[in-house]
Amino acid sequence: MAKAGDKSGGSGKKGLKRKAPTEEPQEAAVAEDETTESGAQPPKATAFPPGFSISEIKNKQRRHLMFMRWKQQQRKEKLAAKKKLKKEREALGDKAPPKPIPKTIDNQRVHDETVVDPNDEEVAYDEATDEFSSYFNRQTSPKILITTCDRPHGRTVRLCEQLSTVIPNAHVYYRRGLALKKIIPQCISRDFTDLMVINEDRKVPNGLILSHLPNGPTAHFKMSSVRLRKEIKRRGKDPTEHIPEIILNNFTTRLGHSVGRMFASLFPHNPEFVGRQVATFHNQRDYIFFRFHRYIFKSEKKVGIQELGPRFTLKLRSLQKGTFDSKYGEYEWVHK
Amino acid sequence: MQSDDVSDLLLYFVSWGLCGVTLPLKSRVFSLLASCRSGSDVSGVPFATKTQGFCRNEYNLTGLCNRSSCPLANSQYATIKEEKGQCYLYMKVIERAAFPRRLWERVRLSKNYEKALEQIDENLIYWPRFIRHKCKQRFTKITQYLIRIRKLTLKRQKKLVPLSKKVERREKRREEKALIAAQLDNAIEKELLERLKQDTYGDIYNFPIHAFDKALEQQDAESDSSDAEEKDDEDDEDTGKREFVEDEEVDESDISDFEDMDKLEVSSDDDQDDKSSCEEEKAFNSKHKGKAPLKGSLQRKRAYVEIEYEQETEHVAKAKTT
Repeated sequence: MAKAGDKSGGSGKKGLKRKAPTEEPQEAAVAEDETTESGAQPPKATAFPPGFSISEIKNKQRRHLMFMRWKQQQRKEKLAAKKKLKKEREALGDKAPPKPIPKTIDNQRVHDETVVDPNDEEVAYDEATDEFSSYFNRQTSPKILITTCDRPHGRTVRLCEQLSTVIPNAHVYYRRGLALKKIIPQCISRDFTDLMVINEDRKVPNGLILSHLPNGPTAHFKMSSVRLRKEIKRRGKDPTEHIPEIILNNFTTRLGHSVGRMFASLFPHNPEFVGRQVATFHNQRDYIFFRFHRYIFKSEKKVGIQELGPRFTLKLRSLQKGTFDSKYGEYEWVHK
Repeated sequence: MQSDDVSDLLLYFVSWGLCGVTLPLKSRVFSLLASCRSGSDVSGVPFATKTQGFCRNEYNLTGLCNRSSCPLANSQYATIKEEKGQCYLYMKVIERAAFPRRLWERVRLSKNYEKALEQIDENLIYWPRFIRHKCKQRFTKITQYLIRIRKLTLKRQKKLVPLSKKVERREKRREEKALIAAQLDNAIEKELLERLKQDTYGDIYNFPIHAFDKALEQQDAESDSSDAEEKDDEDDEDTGKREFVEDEEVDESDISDFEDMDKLEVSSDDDQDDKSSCEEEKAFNSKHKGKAPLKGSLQRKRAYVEIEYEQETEHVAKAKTT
């Protein structure tokens, strides 16, 4: 019964042509009877019983057909509405209201209460007394140790080398099955300030552990989209020995602040502007994009940038208070 | 009832007596061995290599499926088994064949290797030397692997973390979208231009024109508004007052330097000041600007940028952090 009712409604809704190519042979006979009727009547609105939705039709082909029809109608209506709007805008000319701003995730974000206010005293006090304060007070200058997990493959090794050219005063050491907990005291005794461990899975680097050494926080990132120098299109020549500038974008929340400071403490204080190199850590929707560029000012309103160096994206997995200790460490933040 | 060689013999004599019917003993034993070898999980496929079968029975001493090492086929048998780091000697004798619950006798071996070997010897005294030998061998092997376990736990242990495909797919897609939303090149260029404007680069780049133009425009705007006010005041006050004003003879040909122009302006200013009876104190800038319209024609004839002397602001710290 429902099917019959549905069919009549369907034929009432659309013209005759729709039925012909898509009907099954069973329904064809019935359809012929109905088409003569509906040919006489003008197409009327859907005569479905109330409370009926397309998803309740049991027959898959029929259901699909009805859905397609409905979709096409929706699209038509949308197009018509758009055209109408456009006409109205043109008719009004200059007096037309300004175009509405499209909604993006970044627009619609719920206000996060941990966003740091630049004048916040508590945060300023925290930052003056945390583990990076000695760096920001110019007491220590960074010295980085870059290493990998056990038995690294070619890509990882090359990434380590390229990173050591990007970050000044960085040394690459081959990890020979040593435990991190044993490496860390040795590093501290040799005055290293930071330890970077690049983890690898199936010959591709996929993780980064960044540990600030004397007793600083340890951040564990997931690394993705790693592009080595030769894979970057339209790149410039290799970076020089000049100390690069840093750009840290969108590290607005409290957690972002600590991570941003961590990145900042990797580079020495005195960027050599003669070198015209800049390392960027751009945070967008919790993904940190790392890029290394060389820039040139063509005029005071125009700057050209050329990408050198490796690029990768990081996503923070966990931030731990002390140095690396996965079992007994105190985690400040863990990605659930 | 265990069907091994002795019990089979018993069975033979008990049931059939000496009627001359031969029980297929061997076939019985082989069926036993076969049952050991074939596990319940894989039917028909023997748990074996081409020459050697393996025994799945937990009490087996060697692990191979032989007549001599099958715990089911032998009524007198011993094994070493390890539980949670403790080694035990299990023994089975024919006397307890009728009591399945008490069949296996268990002796705990000492943790000291030599003492344990002595214990084995003492318990298995008068037992066939094959079993004694194999027991000691098995015990040695077990202690070796226990030592290795203890050593390995002290070293680093890799933790394998499973990746959820759904999560990975989702994160990848989100990363792509975030990359598009980030508009990295634009952001970097904007930031660099900001830094240039805020003069973090100091004197390296010679693009001062923009900054100066802006400042000029600002000054113009200020002075025009203040000029308008003062002109009104002037008109009110100066009506009826007599002044002696210097003739402004400025030859273009004579003027070659910006400095000279400045001096001339300043000097003319001073003269004006002396002679004018206007007591109103005007700011230096506005006075300067007041001259502009007069000098305007001159200015337009040559490319001349008016240099103002402003106080320098302190340089912003070069290392920026957010």
